[in-house]
This record gives sequence, C-alpha cells and structure tokens, in this order.
Amino acid sequence: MKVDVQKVAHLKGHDGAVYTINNGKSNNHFLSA
Amino acid sequence: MVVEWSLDELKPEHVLARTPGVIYCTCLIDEFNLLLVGNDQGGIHVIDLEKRAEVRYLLGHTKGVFSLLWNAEQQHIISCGGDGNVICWDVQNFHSIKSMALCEAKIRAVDYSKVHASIALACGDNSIRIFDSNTLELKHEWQAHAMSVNTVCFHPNGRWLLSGSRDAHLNIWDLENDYKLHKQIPAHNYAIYSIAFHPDGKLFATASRDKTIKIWDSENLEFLIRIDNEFNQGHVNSVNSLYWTNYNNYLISGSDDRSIIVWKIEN
Repeated sequence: MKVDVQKVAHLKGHDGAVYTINNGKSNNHFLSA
Repeated sequence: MVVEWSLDELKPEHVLARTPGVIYCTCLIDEFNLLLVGNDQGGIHVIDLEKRAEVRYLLGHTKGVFSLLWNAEQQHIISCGGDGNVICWDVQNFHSIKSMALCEAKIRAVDYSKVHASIALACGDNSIRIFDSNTLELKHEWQAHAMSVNTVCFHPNGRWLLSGSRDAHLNIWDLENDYKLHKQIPAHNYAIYSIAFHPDGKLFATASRDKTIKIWDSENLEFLIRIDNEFNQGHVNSVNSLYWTNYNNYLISGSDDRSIIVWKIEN
C-alpha cells in the first residue's frame, strides 16, 4: 500500500507543550491542551 | 488551557477551560455536556460546557492525572495517575466507586474495548493490565516491554492490542491467544507516546519522542511512511499526542514544540 502525506495546517496557540488532542463535540471540531 | 479548534476554518474557536498548572489529558462526556481535565497536581476539573463553569474538582490522585476514559456502558469515569492508582468515578455524584493501587510507577494510558468488555492500562512498571470493564476485576497482567509502557490501543479488528513504550518498541498482543506476543516492532528511535487508528481502520499512526510520526498498514502491520521535520515540515520536538478524525480523515498531532499539525493521509 502506498500513502501520500500532505500538511494541511500548522496551528499555534499554546504557550507550552501540547500533551493531548481529542475529539470535540462535533465532527468538525477537536480539542487540544 | 483547553482549546476547541474548528476544522472548517483551521483556527481556534473557543477556550473551553483555563486551569492553573499543566494539563495532561481531557475527556468529553457528550451526554452530560461535561469536559474533564486532568492536571499535573492529581486533580480533575469537571467543566459544565453549557454553564461554561467548573462544577467540581476531583482530587483522588496524589500525582498527575495522565489519562481519562468515559465508559458510557457503565456510566463510569476512569482516571489514571502518576501515583500508580486507577480510580473509577460515578458520573452522577462524582464519588469514587473504586480506587486501585496498581504499582509504584505511573499509569500512563487507558483504552476500552466494548467487544471484549475490557479496559487496558499502560503501566510504568513495564506491564499491561487488563480489567473487566463491568466488574473492574483484574483479568490479566504481564510484563509487556523492557521499559515503561506509555500507550495502549485496541485494534479495530477486535483481535489485537497495540502497546508503545519508552523502549521505542511497538508490540502487538493477540487477545484471542491469551495475550501472547504476536509481533514486536522496533518502531521508533525513542519513546512511543501515542497510537491512533484511521476512522476506517486500514491505517494507524504512532508518535514518538524522536519527533516523528509513522504510518502503518493495520492489516499486515507493515511500515508505510515516516513524517518528520526534514521532509514534511513536521514537529521539531517530541510528538506527544495523535487524534485521527473522520473530518476529511485528517490526522492531528500535538507536540512539545507547542504546536499542532493537521495532516491529510491518503491511500
């Protein structure tokens, strides 16, 4: 199997390390902390 | 702080919680409109998302809370602590139902399999422990790695459990064969922190302290591609967390470099 990788966005907003990424309340959202 | 991001606009939409100290984990409980936030002091902030206010602060651990799980079947919250304890909380009154002192080392991660009615725990004493998710009785435990186990993840095929460790190995355990080792893969150069499956289950990703993400074939467990800073403008420090959303099948990664990257992986 061959896969392609595309970088869609590089998001910044946290002052420290990002330890967790999770689902948000809807399909088009996610949470970070 | 806990930030809610829009995948349509690829920008932050709300700050859902601001808490003192470092946040290690979050868990959304949709049916109660609650957000749980585990911190480095051993506390769990319970945020009511409608009131946009903290309604409880649960203090059961004496060291950081590394992982939280919502068991909708049992209506239980499971918290994993750096103190080696796992606590089961009742969501109605937030009382502790059961507290289990498992080891002297950290409990880093938890995953749940509805099919097997099992909870898997990644333990700092190099072991994995499997509990019955209904009775919370210990079903199985074994020395799984040469160093601390950082993450565990049930394979969507229902047959395997994957584990990632500080020893940089990815181990695959056969649930139908008494948790025997199915395959051991020297997957990364340093500790593995996170494992996430593509929504259709055909691919999975691993994230590591070696600053890379790797993509794997879920069926034959073959390595497919490496995502790094040199070739993909990826992270410049440890990659701590992965989440594979079904929105455009984006893979999202969070890092010690304070940034989040949204990736599109196509096969």
